[in-house]
This record gives sequence, C-alpha cells and structure tokens, in this order.
Amino acid sequence: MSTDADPDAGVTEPRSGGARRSRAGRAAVAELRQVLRDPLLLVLVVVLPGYFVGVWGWIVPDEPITVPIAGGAGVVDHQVPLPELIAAVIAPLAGALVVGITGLFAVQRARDVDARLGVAGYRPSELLAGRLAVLGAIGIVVTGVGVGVARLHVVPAHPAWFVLAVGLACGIYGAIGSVLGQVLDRLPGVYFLLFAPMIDMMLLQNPLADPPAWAAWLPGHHPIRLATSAAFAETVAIEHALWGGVAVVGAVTLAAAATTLRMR
Amino acid sequence: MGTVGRQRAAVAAGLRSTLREPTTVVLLLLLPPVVIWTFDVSMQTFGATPGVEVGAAEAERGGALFSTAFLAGLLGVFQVVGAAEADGRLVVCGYRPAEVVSARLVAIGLASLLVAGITLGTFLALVPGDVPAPGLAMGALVLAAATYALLGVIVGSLVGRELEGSLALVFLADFDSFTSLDAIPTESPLLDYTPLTYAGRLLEDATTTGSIAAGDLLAAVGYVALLLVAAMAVVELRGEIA
Repeated sequence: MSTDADPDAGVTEPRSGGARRSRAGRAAVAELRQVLRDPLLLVLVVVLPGYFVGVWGWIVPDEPITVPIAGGAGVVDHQVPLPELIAAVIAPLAGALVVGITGLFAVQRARDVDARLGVAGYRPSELLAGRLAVLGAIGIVVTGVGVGVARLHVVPAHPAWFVLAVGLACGIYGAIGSVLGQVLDRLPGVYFLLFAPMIDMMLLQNPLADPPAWAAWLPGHHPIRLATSAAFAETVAIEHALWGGVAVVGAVTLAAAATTLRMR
Repeated sequence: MGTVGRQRAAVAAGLRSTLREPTTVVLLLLLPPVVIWTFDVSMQTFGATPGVEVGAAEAERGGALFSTAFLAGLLGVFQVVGAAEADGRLVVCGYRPAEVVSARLVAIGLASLLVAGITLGTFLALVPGDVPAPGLAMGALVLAAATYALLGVIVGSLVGRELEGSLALVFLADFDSFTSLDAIPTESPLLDYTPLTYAGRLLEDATTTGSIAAGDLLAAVGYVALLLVAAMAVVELRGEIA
C-alpha cells in the first residue's frame, strides 16, 4: 500500500523528530491515497458492519434476558432485551473483523515496498506509524457506522464509552492483523481473523456465556466488557477502558517488533 | 494434448497454486481439529444461561460445518482472484475459457473434499458416542464445502480482489455460522434460506438419527446447483479469463 511513497525522501533529510514525523506523514498519505483509490473497499468498510450489526439486532427475538454486566460498583445482573444485548456485542465484533483483515492486507501489500523503503532510510516505526494512521482512520469510519447502526437497537446509557469500546476493539484487532500480515500468508491470515474475533468476542466474551478464567486474557475481553457496561450499567466499569488501552499499546508494540524484525 | 490431458494439467496447476504454500497445507490439516475443539470449549460456556442450551455434539457439529464450509469458501475466493492471471495465460495458450473455469472448480472441489474428509475424521474422533451414518455426514460436509466454495468463486469473480472478497465472505460466513449454531435464539423466516441451512440440517440428521429428509437433500443439492450455474455465469460474464 506504500507504492506512492518517495523512497529518496529519507536519504537526504536529517533524522530530527520533525523529519521523522514528516516521513511518517508521507507514508500515511501514501497509504491513504491507496485506500481512496479503491472505492469498493470504502463501500465495504461502510456497508458490511452496518449490515452485520443491523441484521443481528433484527433476527433475535425481542425477549428480556438476565445477564451479568460490569459496572462501576462491580458485576451486577441486569435484565436487558436480547436485541439490545446482541447489538452491543456485535458492534465491536464488526469493527474488529473489518480493521483486523484490512490491517493484514495493508501489511501484506506493503511488505516488498517496506523493504525498499527501509533501504532508502525509512525506519520501521515511521512505516508502521503511517499504516496505523490509515487503519485508525478506517477504524473511526467503522466505529461510526457500527455505533450508528447499533443505535437502531440499543441506545447506550454512556454513548462516549460505547464508542471507545468499539474503537478499542478496532485498535486491538487492527494491530493483531498487522502482526499476522508480517508472519502469515493471506489465506491463513484471513482464516485466523475470521475465527479469532468471532470465537473471542461473540462466544467467549458474550455476557450470555460463562467463560473460563483464561478468557479474560483474550483480546476481546475488555472491549466487550466496556461495551456492555457502557450500554446497560448505571456507571461504567472504567477499568476495562484502561486495560483495553493497555491491550492496544501491547498489540501495537508487537506490530512494531514484527515490522522491525521483518525489515532487518 | 487431448481435452482430458489439458483438463488434468489445468486442474493440477490449480491445485499446485493452492497447496504450494506450506502454511496453507498446515492450515488445511490442522484447522478442522482446532476449530472443532475451540467450538466445543466455547459453546460449553453457554450452558449456564437459561433458554440457551448447546450440547457437546451440537458444538462439535457447528465447528465441523464452520471449518469445512469457510475454508472452502476462502479457497474459492483466493483461487479465483489469485489464479486469474495464470488462467488468462492458459487461454492465450489455447485453452477454452470454459475449460479453465471448470478446471478451477474441480481444483477447488478436490481441496474441499480433502478438508471435508479431515473434518469428518476429527468429528468422529471427538464426538461423544457413535455417529449413526458417517457416510451421510461426509456427504453433508461436502455439500457445505461446495456451497461455500462456489460462493467464494462468485464473490471473488465479482469483486476481483482478495481483501474485498475476504471481507464480504467473512461477514456472510460469520452470520451464517452463528444462525446455524443455535447458540443464540433467532427468529426470522429468512434464516431458512441462508447457505448452510440445509447442509446443516443434513449433518444434524446424519449424526443423530442416521437418516436424512429427502426435502433437505434436494434443497441442499439444488442450492449447490444454482450456485454452480451462477458461478459459471459470473465468471463468463466478467470475462476475466477471455
């Protein structure tokens, strides 16, 4: 995705902080230009999460169900309509699927170009920053669509925290997609990113489930807990936002390490 | 070279392009057991919720259906998109477009058969108790694989790119898998027409009662036949290999 980047730019510029930011910015612009050239991708990024969240809220019966929801005062049983619960879980899942798979392909497409840009003086961190900026932009679009469509079924008690939960899911799985793009081929990578978010967020983190203790270490744990808390609890379980942020930082660090190792 | 020899060469080329990546081969062999086991572990967690009951056999059946169908679907997308250039060269070398398309479909079908076989073996090993009709279960898995392989071919041909094709297939597959699992209660007449509905019913009957409903079999085969016609039409109309 970095085919438009100027490979000579990094050779002549000093390695000051401003120059690094400038090169990262150019890498981001090149990536973004590549995405914008692909109108079908843009359409899918908007349509698929909308369809997914919308249809799921529509096909489940409108019956109340009692589930444990994390809140500021701990986990408390709440009775919530099933369509609302499912919409609150599906919105982060849709984001994770789109941004994760896009991250995988963004890295896969750019692997050869990255090697050349590395020779031309670009640092792995600069290339990764550019890529993550574009994934972040896609994540914002997907979050907007997912949250917007989810509102057809559920009006979150704390909308800003709900948006953050969907954004965290996008960030964590986007970075995981970037890591997988460095170590796996496309077919296994897509397969993994088809299964992992679904098993993690829809099954193991679902408030309908009673997951084993180790499920709390999975990437979708904190985004789903935060999303359901933001949607239904009187006060938000903020610790899930904090730990979700830590998970994003950890996943991005892994992506940086994978990019650096790959460019050596 | 005669028609049969040419077909064989084209099928071999398609299979080679699918299986030349070591990670893909490992995936084909390892994913069915991993997915079935993961479904088993994950679905057990739903047992505590009143009104949501999924037994071990149902979970393993869902995992078997899911792993077979979607691996075949992704193979369909990647075969069509990845092999478009090579297929174009085959046409330049004198192959008829219909020969190339059918060779591509046969290659995907063989890979799907392999996946269905591995999945069934894993399923038979993991499922509690005896499976009354393993042959019928294999047939149901092959129909599920064929359904999604053809959907993959259609999506890949329409979209023409791996990223976009993968995204479209993943969202269809995830939705289909969950509605056919019955882990979350659903109610909509539209769910009678999702791609895995009839193959799922066949697998359920084959693994529980040992006999299948003729109507479900006809519907599943009809689904595959319709998708086959649609796939051939889409590939021809797109003219990507002409």
